[in-house]
Amino acid sequence: MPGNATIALAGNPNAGKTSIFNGLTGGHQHVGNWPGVTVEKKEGDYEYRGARVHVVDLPGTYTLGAYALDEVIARDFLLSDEADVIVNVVDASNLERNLYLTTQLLEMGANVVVALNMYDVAEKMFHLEPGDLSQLLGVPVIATVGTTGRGIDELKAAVDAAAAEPPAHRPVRINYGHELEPHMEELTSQLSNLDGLPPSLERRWLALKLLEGDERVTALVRVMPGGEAVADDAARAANHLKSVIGDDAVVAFADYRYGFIAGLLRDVLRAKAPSRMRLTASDKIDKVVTNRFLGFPMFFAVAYALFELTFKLAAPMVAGLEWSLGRLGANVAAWTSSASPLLTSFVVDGVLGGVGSVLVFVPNIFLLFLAIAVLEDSGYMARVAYVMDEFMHKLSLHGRSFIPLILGFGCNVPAVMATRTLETRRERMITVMVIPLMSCSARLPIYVLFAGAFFAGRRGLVVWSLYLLGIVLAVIAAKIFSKILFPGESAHFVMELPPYRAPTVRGALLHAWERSREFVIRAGGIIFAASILIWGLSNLPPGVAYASRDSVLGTAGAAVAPAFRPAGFGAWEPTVALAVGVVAKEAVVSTLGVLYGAGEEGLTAVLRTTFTPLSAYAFMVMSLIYIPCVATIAVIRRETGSWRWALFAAGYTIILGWLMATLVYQGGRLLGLG
Amino acid sequence: MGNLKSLLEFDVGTTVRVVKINAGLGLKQRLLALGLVPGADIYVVENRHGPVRLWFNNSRIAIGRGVAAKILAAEVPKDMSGDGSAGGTRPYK
Repeated sequence: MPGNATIALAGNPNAGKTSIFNGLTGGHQHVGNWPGVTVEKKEGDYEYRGARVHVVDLPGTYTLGAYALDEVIARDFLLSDEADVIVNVVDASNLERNLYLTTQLLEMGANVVVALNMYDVAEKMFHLEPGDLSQLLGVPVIATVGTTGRGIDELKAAVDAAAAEPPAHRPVRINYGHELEPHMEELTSQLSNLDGLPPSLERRWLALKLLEGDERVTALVRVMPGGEAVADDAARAANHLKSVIGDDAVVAFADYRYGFIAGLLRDVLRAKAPSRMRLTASDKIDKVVTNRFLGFPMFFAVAYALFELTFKLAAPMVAGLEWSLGRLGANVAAWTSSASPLLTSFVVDGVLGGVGSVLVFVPNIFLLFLAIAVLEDSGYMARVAYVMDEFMHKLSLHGRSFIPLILGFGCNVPAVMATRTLETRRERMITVMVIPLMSCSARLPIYVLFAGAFFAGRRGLVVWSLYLLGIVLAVIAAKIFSKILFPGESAHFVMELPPYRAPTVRGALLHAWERSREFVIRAGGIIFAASILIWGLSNLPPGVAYASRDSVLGTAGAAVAPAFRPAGFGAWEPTVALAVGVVAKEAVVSTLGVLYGAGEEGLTAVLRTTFTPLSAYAFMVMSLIYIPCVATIAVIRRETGSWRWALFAAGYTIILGWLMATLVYQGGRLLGLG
Repeated sequence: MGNLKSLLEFDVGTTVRVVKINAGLGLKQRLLALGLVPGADIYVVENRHGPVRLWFNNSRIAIGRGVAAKILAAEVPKDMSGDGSAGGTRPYK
């Protein structure tokens, strides 16, 4: 291989592209964004015979049209010639469909090596020699099993060979029949005479795209000197074809492609491939999972179990982290004891506290994403999206939005990060904006405290009513956002239900690790900064007791407090507690304890003197709705690509929270409730 | 061939042959890429409520009811069922 090289992985979703990517790059991968869009770009590296090979994982696509963002990204990258070799990951157990993309890659003239993946599954079903397929396609074909690593070495060797010596260009040539071919040939020769077109673009492929009415290719050709005439000819031809065929040219092209694939498979498989619907194990499982009445409850059982598991596992990890940081803090305090107490506090409470407030999220994020990876890789996630779609549709969302929203009840941070898998920007935005209304688990201690103090007998009911309020508001918000903020068509629901498969441990761990790392890098800075800020406000001017009335925070709190009088809690202590809650909702209860100078038990007594049941409920409503924590704001900024939406999320929730709390309090007063 | 109906109107368990897709180019391309071509045989797994589940081209696919309404097909007489692969016939040939 001449020095270093770049390769791209292209293939259907669910073809095991990720496992091939992991197999090639090991842990040497990182996630970024495709330029200008909020679509994830995965890249990695591996070494082969002294050369460094850079691997770019293209979004999974079924075709390379000009309509879906994923396809455009993949196609643009392929046409940019940045990659020396394209590894087309193909699901060997589903060649009928996977080869559709392959034929397009070959027609584009790409330097393709086919990874015939999931070969172990295919072997059990029929006899398929990679060599036979290779002969018919005209490119190297390597049998692989991404989940076990089988074939990866051979794949690397084939990639090396292909990069070193691109085969003389003999892309497979599908005969498109006596109606289409004459137009194809005419346009191909016209295009060949155009100057300015990049030489690497196959003219025949361009001709095909022009006849299909591909917007981007058409635009590209029109810009070339002499291109207008060619594009016009193509448009005329396309119209003519439409009247002759009775349908768009794309349909005819697709039909011939599938004909080609069918013929190829007949030659290569020898045994007749099963193409009648047969009840497989996956179908039997689906009978239960997607059952109209069982599907819902079954998912809730699974989700509940998963939540419980992750939080039970995360809790000791978090405790361990906090203990370690505590020990570190004690050591540092001892070390700086000679210096001013303010400095000590800065280092211990401020800096270490800040680091802690970032790290404390990691166990939860890691475990939740581990769970998501397992659900996704097994194929169950697709069923959830399917079962929930009918309901989500009423909220102008898709079934796929359900998982991020449910995650929000645990923690908004991974919930927002999980919206990345949603297909359209519109869905992503609506879902992200609604997630803050999913009452996360960090707010729960606030409810428990106040409900326990004021509604002892009906504590559970009160807490439940808050969650319900959150859900109702979320539904309303979703409706409003979809109609006003992000108007547009709901994307068509078209989804594959892949066969159930066993997820791999390595794949799941890599996924979770990558997401956690991303969180720390992207959101860590902001959380840390906010934490230091609160420290500063609470401990200045120097000598002041932590967050006391005389501190900057206390003074600011007292100044703002009157704004909450209509809501029933216009004192500086609740205001300051709410402010601290902006950094971490968990801190609200402990802050109240500090501000009222009471411990856990004493707090209930103090609250009974400073709140009434009505104002307590109003305060809980405020806590339910108002501003998500800084970490959430940070990931919202990351996923939406701008501060504008992050600040909007912060703003609307504060306003809504205040409005609802005030409504509750004043309404309650009117009704004589207190 | 039998009556032309949308995928929503056939009984569960029938195998139908696609005749036309009345959709814009974007949606059409998506469906074509999955193997839903005029001439292809489709087995209707579930279409009574929620997204419609289909089997075709060796894949299990779920499509929204709006999408299913745009796909016109005719029932395939039992004895004439093709081998189920896409590209079975070319109606315009």
